[in-house]
Amino acid sequence: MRYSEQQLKHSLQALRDNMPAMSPERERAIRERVMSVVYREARQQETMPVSFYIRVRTLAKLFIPQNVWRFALQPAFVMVLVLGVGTSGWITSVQAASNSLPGDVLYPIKIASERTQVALASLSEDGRAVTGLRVAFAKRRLDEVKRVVRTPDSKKKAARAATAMQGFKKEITSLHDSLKQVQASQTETATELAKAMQARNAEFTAAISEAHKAAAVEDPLIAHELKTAEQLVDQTTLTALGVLVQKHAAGDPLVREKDVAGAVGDQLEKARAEVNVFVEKEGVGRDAKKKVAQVVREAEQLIEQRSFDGALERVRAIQEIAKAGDGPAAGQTQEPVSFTEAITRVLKNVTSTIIGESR
Amino acid sequence: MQSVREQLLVYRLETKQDAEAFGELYSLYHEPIQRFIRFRVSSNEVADDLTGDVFLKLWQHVKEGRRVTHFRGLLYQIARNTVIDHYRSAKVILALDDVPEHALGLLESDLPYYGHIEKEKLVAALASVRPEYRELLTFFYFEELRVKEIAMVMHKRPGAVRVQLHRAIKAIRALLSTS
Repeated sequence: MRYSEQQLKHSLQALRDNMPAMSPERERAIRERVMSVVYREARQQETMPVSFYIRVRTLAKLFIPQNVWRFALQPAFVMVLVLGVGTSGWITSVQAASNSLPGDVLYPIKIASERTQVALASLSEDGRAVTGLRVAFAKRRLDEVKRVVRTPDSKKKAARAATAMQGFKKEITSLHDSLKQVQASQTETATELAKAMQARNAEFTAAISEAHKAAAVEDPLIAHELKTAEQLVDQTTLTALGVLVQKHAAGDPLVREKDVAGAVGDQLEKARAEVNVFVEKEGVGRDAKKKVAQVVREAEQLIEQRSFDGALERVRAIQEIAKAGDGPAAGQTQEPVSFTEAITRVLKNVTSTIIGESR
Repeated sequence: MQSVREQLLVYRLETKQDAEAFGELYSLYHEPIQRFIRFRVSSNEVADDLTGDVFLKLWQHVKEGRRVTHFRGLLYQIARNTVIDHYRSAKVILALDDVPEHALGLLESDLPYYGHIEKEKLVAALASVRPEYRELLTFFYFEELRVKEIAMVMHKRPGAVRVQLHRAIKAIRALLSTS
């Protein structure tokens, strides 16, 4: 006898339905075991944030067939969001994207909206507006790094954090370039920009170190990105300080002597702490130590004499010595030089600059 | 096909990690999952314990903020993997697909017929069919999963599942007509 597919289906389902059910006592015991864990953990654990996109997608599944959603509505939804960004800045789509992180569907929209804002601000020819935005976006990138390293998705975590770090470095590089550009031209803008960078320096450094701590599992990619970002912040801060010193020497009333002295002093302290790590190492000769100590002393004296240009020159020299002690950066093929050789070379440059100054 | 109520529960679970919603979904699915496992292990007690494990693993999945694309597919995928892990940890050499039907509670009922087909005949045909066909038939007819959900559970493409399912139905019908 040949059975139809319908008969087969009914028979198999009848077989299923005649399976003995779980006893009520057993059912209760298992339910208690499962739900006690669930309720306890739900109370203890902070709810994971769910993006706006996931909420919309999950809700859409209730009423719209999956195929329609995937092939028609999802692209349309994203397109509407993208067009929304193009036409007006802060509509729902951008707000939706504002909480997104690298790797999220809406993240490119967030970046696009930021670029639009910078482009619009640059039309106003007011350097301060662009600077303010760049500083805010750099801060935002660091916040993203902190949030990404806390996510449980470990597979793509490093790549996502690296994306945010690259965004941060891009903003800082732009700030650095802007500083160099306005240095000679607009006095007021250059001063404002340099002041803004000085003010944010500590905040950026603290945020980078916090991101470092938050990355519980030491990932080489994240560590490398954080280190290079820190170096970039230092470099930009020093350039900003150079601008302030220059403006002070030119008699800019907006730059107070007290502030410049404090900022150069802070940089000197930082450079001294960095170089001390290497000076204390074994194998560094007494002569080299003496030379470093002398440069530090000279810098201190120059700050006291309010000769900030010369002091800053020595701060740079000390930083260069510390970098030489750190060895060549990853990827560089340069031959390693001894610490004493590095000191001699850097100090020779400083001496020639000092001779140039006195002439 | 999930009802709107079920989908709302899944929405609450996915977006808010709502323990109440999880409890309601547990009530809806604990029986099918216990039955699914019961077909694959040798005793009711083991099936009951593994059912609890499946729901705890589902909760972990949700708690970690991972996405739930097809709820039922995910649930059965966890259940299938839990049974496989059980056999591995117990060092049972018997493969999942080789579990004989008399150990699966299929003959526990006293009914002489299941629907239109005699019990002995149906169980014998189910035991003789290829293991992968048997698994597909149980997913499709017993658990009433959709092709897309079966594909998710078995890590296959929906097209491949559709073709294999067609062959499985053809094979069991052939066995039933010859016996």
